[in-house]
Amino acid sequence: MSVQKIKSNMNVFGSAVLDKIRHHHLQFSNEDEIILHYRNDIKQSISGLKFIVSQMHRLSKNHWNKLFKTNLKICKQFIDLIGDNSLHFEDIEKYYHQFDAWQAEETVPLVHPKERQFLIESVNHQLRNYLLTIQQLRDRVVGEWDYHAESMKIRVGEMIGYLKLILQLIKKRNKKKSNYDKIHNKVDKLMKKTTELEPKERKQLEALDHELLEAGRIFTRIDEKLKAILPHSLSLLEEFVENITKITFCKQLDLYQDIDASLRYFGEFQGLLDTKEKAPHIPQLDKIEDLWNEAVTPTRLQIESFISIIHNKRPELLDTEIDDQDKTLKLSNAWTKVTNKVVDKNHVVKAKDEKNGIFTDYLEADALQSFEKFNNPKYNISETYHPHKIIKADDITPPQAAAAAPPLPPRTNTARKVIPQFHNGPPVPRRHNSQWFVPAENDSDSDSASISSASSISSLSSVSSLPTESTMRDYDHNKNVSKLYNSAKNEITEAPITAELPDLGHHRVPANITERLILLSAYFAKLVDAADGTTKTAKFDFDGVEPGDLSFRKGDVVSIAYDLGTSKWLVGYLKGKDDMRVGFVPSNYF
Amino acid sequence: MSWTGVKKAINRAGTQVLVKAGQVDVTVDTEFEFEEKRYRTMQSHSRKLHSELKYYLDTLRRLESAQLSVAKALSSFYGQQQGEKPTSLAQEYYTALEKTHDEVAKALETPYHQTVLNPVARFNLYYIEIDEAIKKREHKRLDYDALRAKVQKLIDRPDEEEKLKDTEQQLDGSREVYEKLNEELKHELPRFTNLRIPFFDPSFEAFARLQMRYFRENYESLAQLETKLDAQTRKDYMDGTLDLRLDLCLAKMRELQA
Repeated sequence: MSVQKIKSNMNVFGSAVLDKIRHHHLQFSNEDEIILHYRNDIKQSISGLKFIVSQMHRLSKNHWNKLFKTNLKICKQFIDLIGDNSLHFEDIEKYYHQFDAWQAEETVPLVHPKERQFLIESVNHQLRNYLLTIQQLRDRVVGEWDYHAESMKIRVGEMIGYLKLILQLIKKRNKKKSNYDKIHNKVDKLMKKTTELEPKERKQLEALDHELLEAGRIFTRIDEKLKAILPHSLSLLEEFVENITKITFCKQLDLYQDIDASLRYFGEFQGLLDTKEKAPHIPQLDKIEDLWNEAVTPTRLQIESFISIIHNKRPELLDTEIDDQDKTLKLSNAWTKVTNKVVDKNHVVKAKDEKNGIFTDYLEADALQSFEKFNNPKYNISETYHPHKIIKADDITPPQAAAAAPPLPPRTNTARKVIPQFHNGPPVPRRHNSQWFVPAENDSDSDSASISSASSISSLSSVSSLPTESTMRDYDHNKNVSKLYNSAKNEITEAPITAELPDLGHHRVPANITERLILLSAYFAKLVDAADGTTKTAKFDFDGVEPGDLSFRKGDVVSIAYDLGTSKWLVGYLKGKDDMRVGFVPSNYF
Repeated sequence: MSWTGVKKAINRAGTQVLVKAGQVDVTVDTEFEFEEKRYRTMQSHSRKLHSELKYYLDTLRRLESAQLSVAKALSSFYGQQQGEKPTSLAQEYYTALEKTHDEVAKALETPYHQTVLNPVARFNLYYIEIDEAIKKREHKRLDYDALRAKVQKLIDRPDEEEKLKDTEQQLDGSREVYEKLNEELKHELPRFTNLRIPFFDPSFEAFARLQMRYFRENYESLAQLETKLDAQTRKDYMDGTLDLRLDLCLAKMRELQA
């Protein structure tokens, strides 16, 4: 092989490598990056879950157990020191025996050393009780946590299995992808050739094409599956982690509650609680110190005074504050800190997105809505995802019993008598055959219907909107008269509603609401032009009852255009930005 | 040590050898022995108690930090905390635990030392003086025994009457000293041992109270967090069906993989 040839071969090879690199670079799409992201997160989750499980196991086997073990040991030492049979040593019986033998010869009876122990029964009882409490607590707490750790282990183990399968799938996908890219590259190279392909090469190209198709098919299948699975898996993982948190939290809370309750029960029974106040409670820390001080000081003085009697060579020992003890404690504290660092295990899941963690990229809440929800204390209903806002006592503003608006003043000149059905509910069909006499039940029916469906204001303003019995009768009477009158002239058997409006004096009765409104607006326009600009602030809400009324809210400032005088109704208007509303307003609403 | 001190020490060592060899009779006071044994038992127990009590705080701290590490791992799933407001239960859980870890345990430390650890240490310090008193009595006893043996020997030899008289006088003096110390200790030792109960009981009560307070505060801070938990979760936990949620997750996961 000539040098030339080698050189060219080298060139080809080099370019191929270059090409490949460049090619890969190009093909490294967003999708790959996302999948890489997922891969990292899942890996981190697996290690995080593993850590959590092992730590929970350690908690039950090691930490809780050790805590109670130490506690029990302390308790036993206390018992040996000051409790039942305290200071009992080996061969004590021998001494008792000797005393018995000696006592048998003596004439004056002496107190047996057994009885000279000066044990205090209440202290013994306290210690026994404490030992029992702690033993029971240990059994419960360690057992509970053990169970919890086991159940976590099984479930997390399964979850880890699934996550690992996903990782495998990702790996497979990447392998297929590189395979696909490789073939693609080859095809590209063949295609790039400018010269006519030889038959052999052509055959190769065909084969490659086929291969490429196959590889692409496999890749797409896996890719599609992965893309479908990944977001769901992560959201399931989040649910999983959230529930683990909840369970762990609940478990811990439960255990602490149990411990608290048991100890409290013990304390209450043994009189260790602070009963100064009404409800006995566990004393505060400084109170504990005070209680201890109070109890121990006389004893301490007694001991020290007669130690100086027994042997008074080093009185400074009694006066030394035990601060050298504190020094050694500091030392031991430092030591435990160091050992704790070794013993303490910490693990942090390092998500690609460090700030937001693993569960981020698929859950996007509407910011505005969330904000509103967050700020509304009434939204604090139970949710799967815990709300962050807790209702405090002063967050709750009970809907104030709105001061009942005063009854509307009677309308004499502007209003008409309102048939209740007209406003409220569907109109009751008129009866043809019993027009002389409206049955009482129908009367009350329509009354109650109107009350129940009417707003509080309109039901209160019964003067104008609800017909009393007497007006009802008048109305019936009028109807009958007009009917008689009308029936004589034409075929109309029923009076139109407008005919039932009472006489409005010199005004022409508007035929319908529209006409009435047109008339009113012309009237209002004149009044507003002549207004002197006095304003009044509304004290109540007012929802217009009739056409032509001006609705307003409590607190609105209504300009008064005209006082209708005796009728207690005013003409007012509310100026908006670029519009104005005019209408009748009741004068007693201000 | 003065010259007489050295001389005394050598003499006593000699006597001890003789006692062991059975050459010298030993004065035995059973009553005192009984009291001393009780005293020694108390000594060993209170020393053990001290070391256990020291260890107790450590175990508490270790338990806490283990719980904290679980919470930390859980909250790290949700990323670093941004600002003041935690965004997930896990983070709140972690914050709450961290707070109690920082505050409750630390606040506990000083009163624990003050009322539990230091008193026990102080009591253990009293032993030094009493031990010395016991040792002194022991020495006096040895002196007395030695002199007695000497007198016994001199009685057998009639030629040294002068010396016998002298030694007998010494014997009387040493017996007086020994008996005085012996009586004193016999009287005071049980009084001291009996005082241990009123001395240690307050510490025990303080220990129990501190423990109560510690667990109470832990529980309270967790219970505060509980208000942020939805009612359904709480109910499910009470019913014991919270685990089923995990199973549901797993079942869905399984379906997904299929």
